[in-house]
Amino acid sequence: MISALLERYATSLPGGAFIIDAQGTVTARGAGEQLSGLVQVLKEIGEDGICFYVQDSARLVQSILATEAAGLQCCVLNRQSPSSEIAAILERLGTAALVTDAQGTFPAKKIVQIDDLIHDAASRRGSVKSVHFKPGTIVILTTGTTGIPKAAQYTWQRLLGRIPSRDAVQGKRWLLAYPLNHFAGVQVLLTALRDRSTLVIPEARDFRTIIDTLIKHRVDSVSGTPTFWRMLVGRVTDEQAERLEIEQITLGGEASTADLLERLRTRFPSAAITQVYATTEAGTCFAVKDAMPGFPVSFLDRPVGNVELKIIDGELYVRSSASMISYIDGSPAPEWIATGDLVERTDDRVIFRGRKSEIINVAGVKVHPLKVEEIILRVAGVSAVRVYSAANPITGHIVACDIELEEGADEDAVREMAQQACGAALSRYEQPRLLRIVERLERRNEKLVRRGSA
Amino acid sequence: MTEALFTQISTILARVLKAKGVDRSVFKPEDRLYEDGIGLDSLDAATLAAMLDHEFNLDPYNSGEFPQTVAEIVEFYSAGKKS
Repeated sequence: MISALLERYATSLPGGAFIIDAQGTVTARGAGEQLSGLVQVLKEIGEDGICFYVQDSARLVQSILATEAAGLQCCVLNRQSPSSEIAAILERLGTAALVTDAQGTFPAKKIVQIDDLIHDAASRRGSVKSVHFKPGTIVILTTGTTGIPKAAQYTWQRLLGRIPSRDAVQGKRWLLAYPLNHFAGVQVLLTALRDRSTLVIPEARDFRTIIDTLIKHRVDSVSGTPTFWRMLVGRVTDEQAERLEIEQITLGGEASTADLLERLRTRFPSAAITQVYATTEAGTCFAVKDAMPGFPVSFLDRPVGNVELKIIDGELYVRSSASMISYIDGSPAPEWIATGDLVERTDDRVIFRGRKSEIINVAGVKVHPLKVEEIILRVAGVSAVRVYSAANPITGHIVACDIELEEGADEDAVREMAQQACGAALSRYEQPRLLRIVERLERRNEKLVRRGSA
Repeated sequence: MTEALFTQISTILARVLKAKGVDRSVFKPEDRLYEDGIGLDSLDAATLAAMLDHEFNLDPYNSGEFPQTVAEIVEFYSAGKKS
């Protein structure tokens, strides 16, 4: 099905730029011609499925699409994760084959460098007349940072099912602002493919490169987290803004605030603003286009497409025909998926108020406080620690921590050691951005009071 | 621009950079804050906002501004916006 979309693209717009990355441009026809070779090689590499640990690039996109045509299960791993974490995920997934651009040892029976994969596939291009179009599946890992993310399995049909059909739309230029291991990154890829548009992959993710890429490649459609948009709006100069051609602004992954939406309207007055609500497990649930925070109360009264919503004890629940088919361990998706998002019903709006659990959402990445606390508690001189979420104007929330010292401990030394320990063991999203030394942490029944944020 | 305020902001910037493993403590008012200068990314900017708020009970980012240079942070506070 995905490959059929590529075929349709290649047939109708053979010279259309399908992917632009640092290496150049891949046309729809070029991608289509490479498909059969990639399918053959990928089938030889992994019978059960293939994991990719590769920087976002045209060759990764082509390989992902080829897994679908090969009838394989595909999982894209976070290229920013350390190889030790990747090893743990591979063991858990039980995937025998890994395609990578990294050096090192991984617990996979077959490890193939992506350079070799592409080279081998190119040599077989056109050697088989028909490709076997058995549908494959994709496994998307949640962005949780406990080291054991949940793995949600989707059919490509389900992922495509929640992207509105827009036959009249083609030739858009989408920036890949999300990584391809992220649910939203896959959605942007599928949108570009389905709409016979261009996927522009930035060479790096710093905002100077992002803005240069937007201008150079005349990107008109961008999907990113509120954190991404806050940085972009803050960084772009008036002169650059005049050269930008953004027509479509899509936000997701975190709740959008009223001030951000207002800043986007001011900076890009002619752009359409769409807020997408999606979770890795429930898939894309709904979109709001009125550039106001939250969503209309009416969404609770009737199905939104194939999605139903309800609120139980302040938490948003979702039932969707486009949700994952199962977790990778085989346990089925629940009928109603608890999103963990706390919401409040106002007169005509449902507003997001935070997360039910203590999980901290830093720029769309979920951070578990206990994991951070475990690291800091190992530091000499620390008596107790509480890690919590603090509101932040850039990333929505940051990880903050209060530390109670042992008697006689040196404050500066503990602070430095705690930072070093976190820097060595945690991803940048997980590291406390605000570290306070306090006299005594609040306790109740000899337990730390964990609720509340700064 | 008061020298004391500039020194205070410089100290905070040095702490932000130290948290990402960069050892730098000397800044100039005209230094640009992000990739084209000191090198702050979104997480660093979030840290800077939190530290400024912790120090002054107010930060420019939360006030709808997005400073581009060290001097703009100093000016934000020296303009009487700090509490």
